[in-house]
Amino acid sequence: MKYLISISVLAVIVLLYLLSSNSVNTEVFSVSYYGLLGLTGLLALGLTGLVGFQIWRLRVKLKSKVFGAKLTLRLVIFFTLIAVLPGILVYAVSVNFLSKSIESWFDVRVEKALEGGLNLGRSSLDNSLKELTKKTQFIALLLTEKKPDQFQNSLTHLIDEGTVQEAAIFDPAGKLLAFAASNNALLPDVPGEKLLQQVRTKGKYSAIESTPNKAMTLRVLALVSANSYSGQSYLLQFNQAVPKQVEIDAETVQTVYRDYQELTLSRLGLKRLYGITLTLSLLVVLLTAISAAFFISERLGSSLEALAEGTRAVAQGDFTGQRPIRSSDELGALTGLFNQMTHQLADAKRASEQQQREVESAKGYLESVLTHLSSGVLALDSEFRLRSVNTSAAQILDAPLHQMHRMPLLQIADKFVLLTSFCLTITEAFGATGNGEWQRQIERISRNGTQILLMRGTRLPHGADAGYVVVFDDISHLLKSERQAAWGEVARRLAHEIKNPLTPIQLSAERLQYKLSAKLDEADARLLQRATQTIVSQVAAMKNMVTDFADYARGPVLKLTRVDVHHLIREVLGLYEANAVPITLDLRAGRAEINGDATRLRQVLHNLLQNAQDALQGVAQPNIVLSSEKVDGEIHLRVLDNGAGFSEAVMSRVFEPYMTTKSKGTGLGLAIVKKIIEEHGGHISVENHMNGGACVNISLPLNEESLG
Amino acid sequence: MLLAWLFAAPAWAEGIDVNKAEMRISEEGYQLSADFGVNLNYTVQQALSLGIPLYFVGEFSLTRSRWYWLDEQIFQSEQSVKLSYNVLTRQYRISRGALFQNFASLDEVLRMLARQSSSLIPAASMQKEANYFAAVRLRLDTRQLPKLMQVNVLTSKDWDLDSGWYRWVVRPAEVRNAGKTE
Repeated sequence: MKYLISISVLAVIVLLYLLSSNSVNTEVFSVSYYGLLGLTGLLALGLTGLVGFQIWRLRVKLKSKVFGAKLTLRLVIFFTLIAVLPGILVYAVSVNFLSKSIESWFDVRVEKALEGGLNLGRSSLDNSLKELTKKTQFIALLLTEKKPDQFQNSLTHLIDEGTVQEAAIFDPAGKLLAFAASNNALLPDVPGEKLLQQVRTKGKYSAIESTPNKAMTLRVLALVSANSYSGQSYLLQFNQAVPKQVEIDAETVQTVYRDYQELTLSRLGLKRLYGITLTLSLLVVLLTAISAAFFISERLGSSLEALAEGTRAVAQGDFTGQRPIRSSDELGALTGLFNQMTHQLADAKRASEQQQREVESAKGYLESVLTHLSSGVLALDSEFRLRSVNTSAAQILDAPLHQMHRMPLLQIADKFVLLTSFCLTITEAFGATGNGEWQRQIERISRNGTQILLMRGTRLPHGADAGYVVVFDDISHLLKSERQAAWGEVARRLAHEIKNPLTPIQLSAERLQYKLSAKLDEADARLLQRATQTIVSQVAAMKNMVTDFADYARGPVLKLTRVDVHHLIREVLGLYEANAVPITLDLRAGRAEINGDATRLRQVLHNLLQNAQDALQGVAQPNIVLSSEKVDGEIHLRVLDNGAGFSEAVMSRVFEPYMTTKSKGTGLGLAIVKKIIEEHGGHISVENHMNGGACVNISLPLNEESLG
Repeated sequence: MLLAWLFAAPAWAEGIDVNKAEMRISEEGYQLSADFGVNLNYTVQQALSLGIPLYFVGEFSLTRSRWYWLDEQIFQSEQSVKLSYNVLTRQYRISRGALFQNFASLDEVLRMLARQSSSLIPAASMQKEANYFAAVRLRLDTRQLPKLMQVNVLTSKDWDLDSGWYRWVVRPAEVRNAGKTE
């Protein structure tokens, strides 16, 4: 576009220069001038096309609402007005001036004067010719009286007298008879056949002869009719040169007259020509100006457009774009400032992002610390609404606390009945404390039995983040193990204390029987034997019980080997084949290898199956289901019976020693089972099946190698 | 010797027409000649009567048609004739180069102008049994008009005096035979 306009401007200058210089006289007028006019016309057409294209482009831009297009339009209109108005004014003045000045060349008086001059010349020549004709005719008349041999003398005489410059006499056939001249000419102009004919018929011939090389001459031929001596006719020819000055003047008048007439004839054409030239020049100049106006305006507009684009980009958060600076004026400076601004914005954004990342990482760190904290942490705002909670809290309380963001504590208490005591304790404790710190131990019912929580509350200092923090731990396990340790201690001592006298009792009873049975009569001996047997058997039973106690309390070290649980189950089940209660196997775990002590695990199975069998005494259609399942790297075992199930009171203390519902049982069965399972890193829980019947769930971690 | 001639439409209309066009043979060679009907319109006549010289160009050409290539140009000639009027002596003049002739009336001078003939075409350059295209044309050479008058030429059609090319077929053999029988 830029080059197009430059080229057209150059072409306009060249063409206009040629046009203006061509109006003056040059040889190559017609061809090149009209060629030039044609070229200029073509250029004008091309420029019109260019301007049309530019208008169309601007229209498209306006329609698509390109930023800066309106400004471009206004600038174009201004520039165009500035260019066009003076141009048209100058054009009008020029056209008027042109026609006036061309008209001023023509003047009626000048024309009359020229015609007068011409007529003067003509009549002067005519007069001379008439005079010469008369003279010739007169001499011809005289010559009729002269003898033909005197002709030469007469002519010489005439020349000498200065009557005429050149005289000659011819016979009717055109043969020269006599000749005399004052200008040393040797021969006269011999008249042609046509001339002779004319003279013979008309009696005379007179003409002004002009040849390019010779001066203008007057030529008269007259018939010398019927010479009185020879009776023949002759032709007399007089040649008289027109005076040099007269000839020059006449020629001048003629030339000027011709030029003037040329001018007159081409007056209209000239006016048209100049008009066309002027119009075309104006058109080309104006079109170029308009085209340039478009170009300049678009440049200005496009700078704005670039800035607008940049602003939009910044608004959308893109600070990377740097606008090119196209001009050294204020617009360029503005673009530069804009670039600087975006640069600074980009820096600021980077800095803030950096800061945010740091804060986030700090927060993430804190959160990770909180998440991996085994204690539960609750953050409350000043109105006891839940602000944040860590994973351990949700696990301990077994409630989806993460989803209860911003929920008031009392509402949570309403929603989860199991959390009621917990929530109430918090509100009550914060209400009661004076310095904002407290520590309490509460007991609450959880899904897995009673849970003992140790809670500590702190009020956060006043400020933007005012509120409360509660930290709590589930200390049920701690207490339970303490209790178990205490029980174990008691059991060991008790077993020791009981076991010591048992052996002497047994030995004494056996000794009594051995010593006395021979001395007694048959009836007494039988009595003694019965009593002794009773003592021995009861002591043995007591020994067993005490051994169980000791076993429970001592907990021998596990001998871990790779054990296939399914294999183990089948092996144990072999002992129960002859049993009254059918046992259904449902082993669905794909892999069942664990690290475990086979003996102890066998005991677990024995205990559980024994319990189930005991529970099923007196049930119409007793059935035990033993199933296994693999869940997330653990094997889940389940022993289900269709008995009466656990009662509510038993449920919470079922794993504690000496809890039994059976008439004869140590109450150590499930306690030992739990101990063994926990020693294997597993969990055990009991529940009542919905169809009635107790259900014991055991989960044991699978061997990692077998997992892989 | 009149050997081959053709008549064009009789024309008293303004402009230049071809009345008769022919090929002559003489001992030196062939010659193309044509008789035009020249009638100057008012504008041109007025310009002439005001002393403005007019240049006429008589053009002749002879070509042979070739089926395998562009036509062969055998002969081409152009003759310029100047027609002028002396307002002082009221004489018309025809000039061809250095030669000139004066005439008292316009009719005479136009009759003289109407007769145009080419320079000689050497007989050797033509084959007897071939067909040739001859063409003649007479036109007013507006480029030799005074410069100011050329403005008029471009703005008006009055100055467009041109007979256009008049073409006909000649056979040198027939030309000779006809000549002998006559």
